[in-house]
Amino acid sequence: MRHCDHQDAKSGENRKSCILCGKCLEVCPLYAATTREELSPKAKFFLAQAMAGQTPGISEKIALELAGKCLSCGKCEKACPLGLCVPELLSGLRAAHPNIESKLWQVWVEKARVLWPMMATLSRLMPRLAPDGGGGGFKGWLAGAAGGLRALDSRTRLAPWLKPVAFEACGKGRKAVLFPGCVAAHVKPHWTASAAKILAGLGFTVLPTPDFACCGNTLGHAGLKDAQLRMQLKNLEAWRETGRPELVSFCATCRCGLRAYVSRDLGWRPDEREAWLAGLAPFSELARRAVYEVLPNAPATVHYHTPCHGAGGGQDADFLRKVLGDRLKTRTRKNLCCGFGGALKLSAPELSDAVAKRCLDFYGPEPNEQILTGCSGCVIQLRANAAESVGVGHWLEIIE
Amino acid sequence: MPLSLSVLRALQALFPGDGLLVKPEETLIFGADASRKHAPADAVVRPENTEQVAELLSLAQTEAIPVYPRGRGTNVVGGCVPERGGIVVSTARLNRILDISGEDFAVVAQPGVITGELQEACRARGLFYAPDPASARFATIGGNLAQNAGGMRAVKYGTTRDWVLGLTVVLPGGRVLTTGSRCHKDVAGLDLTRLFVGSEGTLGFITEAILKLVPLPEAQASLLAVFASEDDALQAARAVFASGILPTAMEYMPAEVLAALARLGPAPWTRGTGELKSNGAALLMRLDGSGEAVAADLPRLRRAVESLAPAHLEEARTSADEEALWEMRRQINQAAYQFGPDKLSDDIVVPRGSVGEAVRRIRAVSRELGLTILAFGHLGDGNLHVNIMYDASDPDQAARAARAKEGVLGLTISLGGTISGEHGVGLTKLPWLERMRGRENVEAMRRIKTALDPMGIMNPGKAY
Repeated sequence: MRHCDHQDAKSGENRKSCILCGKCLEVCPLYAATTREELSPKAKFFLAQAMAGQTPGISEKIALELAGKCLSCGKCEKACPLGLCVPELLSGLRAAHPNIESKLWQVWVEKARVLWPMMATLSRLMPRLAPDGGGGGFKGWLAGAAGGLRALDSRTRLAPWLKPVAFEACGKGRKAVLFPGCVAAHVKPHWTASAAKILAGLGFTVLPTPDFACCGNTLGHAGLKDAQLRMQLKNLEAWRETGRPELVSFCATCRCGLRAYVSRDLGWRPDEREAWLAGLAPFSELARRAVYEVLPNAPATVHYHTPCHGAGGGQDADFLRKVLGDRLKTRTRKNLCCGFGGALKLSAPELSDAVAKRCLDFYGPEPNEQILTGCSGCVIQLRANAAESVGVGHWLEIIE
Repeated sequence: MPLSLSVLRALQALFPGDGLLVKPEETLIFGADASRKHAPADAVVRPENTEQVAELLSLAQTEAIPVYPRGRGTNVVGGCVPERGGIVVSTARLNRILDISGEDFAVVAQPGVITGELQEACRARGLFYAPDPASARFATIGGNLAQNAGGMRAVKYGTTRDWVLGLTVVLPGGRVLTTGSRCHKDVAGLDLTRLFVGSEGTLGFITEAILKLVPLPEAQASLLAVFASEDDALQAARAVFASGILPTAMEYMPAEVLAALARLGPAPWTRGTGELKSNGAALLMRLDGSGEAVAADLPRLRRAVESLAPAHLEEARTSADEEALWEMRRQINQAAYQFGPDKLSDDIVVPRGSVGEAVRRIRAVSRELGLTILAFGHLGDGNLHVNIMYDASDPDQAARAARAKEGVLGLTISLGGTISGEHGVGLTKLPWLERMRGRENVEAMRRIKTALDPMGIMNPGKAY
């Protein structure tokens, strides 16, 4: 089974070396946005081979920095005829060579409760802090990060325009607990509230959310395997203490990260893995058990953005298509990504933004149109980069 | 020899920002291509217009610096490798389609455009650019032009060269040459367009191409037939042509290829258990034309191959069903690595009547030397891809692989064939060219190069 944390034990395959066929260039969003072949998956594998072979003239520090510029989207793994995966390569490289970038991300995620709301507030003061608006150095970095932080502001949610009018009673006699993920837990609590309302409507008994940590997905990408393990164990324990109810997540990436737990040795008890996975289907599988009415304030056109991780069999898109009909556009491309990219958002915001720009240019939303997606990271990134007149949100936001 | 400071300054001025790379970590990948050969580049530049290329080739000529055009580095014969140091010129930012004309039936494109994207853009306008190399979705038109790429549809529509009406080429020294025109017929003067196509970047740098288009065929369909034996498959191919059908594509896949593809994922020729339905060989064919023509030809094609009692026969009429079959075919080059970590890759062509003989003799070489040799591909036009699989870290295997290559190319020449149908000569086939063409012929090629590239700076040491 393959997971979005890109850490499957492909012991034999890991030793396969890249054959430089170039198929990864077709799917790599970073290459598409920058046309820089040195940032492509094949370049990263070739560089890693050169580092391992101690090729003269190759500086380990510069090579690591270059190879580390990756969105961790995992598209290369699907395109590669050998199944080689850059996030997996980087995870190993970063664990062996911890650097500032991954430590920064560790602080960001571990201290999410404190940092995110604070930084969302701070970001509104950014124009004053960085009057040059986008120059180099720390100020430039701050300015790049500012848009992303502003997007975390909980006041910018979309006005709901979809009203549930009837629910199936599929949740009767079932207990569920919501795993909100970092973004909803700290800056978008209304996502959790909307999801809880739907669950309750379906008849679920929704248990109070325990003190879950980050799902740990991005920590794995950043090579912070110890920190990731700590968070996984904490979440598992919190779930046990809640009485092992169905674990439900509305963030595609969190769901993908959580599903990956079962392939780890976390001290699972008998039958626990099945119970852990029982609720971890796309949230749209539940949301579609209700009947909705489209309210008059609905936009004429809505674009759906497929997250790189956790899109499953496209259930979110199917659900939205069914409910929204022709107003939903699901046009996509193989190398489309929002550019949030875990550590890249912090280490190279200009690259992350270039990927977002290309993504938004592809959808080409007109003023007052909306872009909906099912992943917290995608929402932050696209909202930060889209024009003010374009609404961006988790699809839960449109449900009243 | 590293570039002088004054050259570096000139390059910096000409290619600002990330248009110039000099750090070895950044230039590393530009030293390699899909041949997996590598030589370090002194610098990499990413021009965005013809003027920048002209200034670069003026500088390079004055300073006698080798220049290596590069699309996406998918060449398998070392054509992109900067063997003598110098400057790699990436076409990644010369990547625009400038015009698609349904009136002139022509498309004008820069070299960095992905072939598949060009095909798609034309298709959206009801127009068809036929050349379809297996790498179409991730390789560039520039690379296709440099190597005169062929591909699956060559049996009916010919190779890249047959689809080029005109070129803009920057010559060493910086002069800009426009060859040909938008006219579909043009015999005035020497055909320089056809000279540059397939010249492997050794004569000049192509910055623009006018390519021919035809109306998009209304319909297409594919047929996969898996036979009990290799002979049956080869006989079936003859039966198809004898029935009066010219397929758009006719691909041949022997047992080893079928097995390797089955290991990558579910394949039409395996049962649920993963076991192969046949140990023979397969033909994958495609027809195109009007809806009525395809509907009439598909049963005819089916009848033609049914005379050889195939173990598995599968029609694909929708684009999704067809894509599933053709994607298998595109995976072969990569799937081959299951038989060994290294390969010697050839793309021989023999006269069409000698294909059966070539397949049998290649199999004999494989048996004699104890190596897996995959011979597959464009059976319809006599073009076989021959992959000799081995482990280069084992000196004995490496020696046997070299002997196998010798055997394969030797038998090809003896059958009146050619050492390359579409990959080009590059670095890896260079030792063979004179043996096949003769000294006079190769010397004539070199005199042409000297006339256009007197300092020998364009992709030196390659092709001829």
